[in-house]
Amino acid sequence: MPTKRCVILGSGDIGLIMARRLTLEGAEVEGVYEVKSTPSGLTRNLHQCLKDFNIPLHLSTTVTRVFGEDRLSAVEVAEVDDKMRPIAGTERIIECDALILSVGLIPENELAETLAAALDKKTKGPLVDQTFMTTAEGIFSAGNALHVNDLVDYVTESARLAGGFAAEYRPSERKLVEIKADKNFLYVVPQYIDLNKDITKTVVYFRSASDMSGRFSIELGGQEVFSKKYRALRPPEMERLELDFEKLGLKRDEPQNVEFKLEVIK
Amino acid sequence: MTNLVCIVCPNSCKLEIDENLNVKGALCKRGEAFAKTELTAPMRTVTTTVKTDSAVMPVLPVKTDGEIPKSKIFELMRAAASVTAKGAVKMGDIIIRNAAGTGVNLVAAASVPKE
Repeated sequence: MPTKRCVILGSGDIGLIMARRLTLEGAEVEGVYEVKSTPSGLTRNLHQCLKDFNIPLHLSTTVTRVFGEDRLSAVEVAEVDDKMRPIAGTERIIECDALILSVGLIPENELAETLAAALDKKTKGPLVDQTFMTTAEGIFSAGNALHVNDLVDYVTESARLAGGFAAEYRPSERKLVEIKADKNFLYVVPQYIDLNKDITKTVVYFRSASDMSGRFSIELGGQEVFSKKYRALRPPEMERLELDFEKLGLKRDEPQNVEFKLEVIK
Repeated sequence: MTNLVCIVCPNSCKLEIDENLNVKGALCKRGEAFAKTELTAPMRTVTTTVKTDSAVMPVLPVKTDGEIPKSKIFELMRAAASVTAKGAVKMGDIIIRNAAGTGVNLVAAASVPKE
């Protein structure tokens, strides 16, 4: 084990799961520190990872200094105010030999950018069609480079699909139609449908912009063609749908608006 | 009165359980069952890795093939730490039978190829 006593910064799912794993494998986790006033991870992880092992969660608290020469020997933590600034006088030194940073992730897209693949501001990954092809012809994107996934199953699925489409790829003219998603979506992937490619087995991933009960619907040329109700949508929990746009009535030759709607159910 | 968050599925129902183990707030029967077990004899599935004697795959992911009492988790972890999986292993093979006396087996969650 690379650590005997550690501190975890960040209460996202990875931080919480690491707290449990390190405890199970024999390390002492002194505590999980979260700069925000609410935990970032899923409720079930707070329960199973921290509560099960009596690991304290310190909210509105962050790591302000680290100590040690060849190896970490301690960290300093301090409480923060509502603007996330450390509050003088609340500093505390914690002896530890490791600091685990679980502070979120952003898709790494330097490569996509140098290849002139356009990025989505919301996902911070490339814009893709239903074959995971970016706006750069012949360049495909999957996994956490495309958008940050909450479950590894989706990473695997998108990689398999993108790999398959890349293998099948032959240069051809594209006929992209944008999926317009309303403001109740945090984002939708893919952002485009290429009408010149297969539209019968389209995997769609989406997140809601806030916690809600919602009615998801698809309109083609202003006509509703699909709907589904969700009791509990939360931004940290991605939803997945498999759609046959041919059956839904998407025409390949005449341009139609493709709109995704998410209506809050009271 | 005890408050729990159901961990059976992502719905994360907020449960209220009274002294007579009446459960309120569960959307399904599994949530009710979870609340009752959680308050009487909490159970967990455990995952970890064990050593192997393989050069290409020195550690093997393993899991319990059912839930074990929460109180037995660390005993099971110690048992897993002291065992070495020998030779080729197929996913699902039992690595420790009746692990930590729970009646549940620790099984391979991946395969170790023959060398």
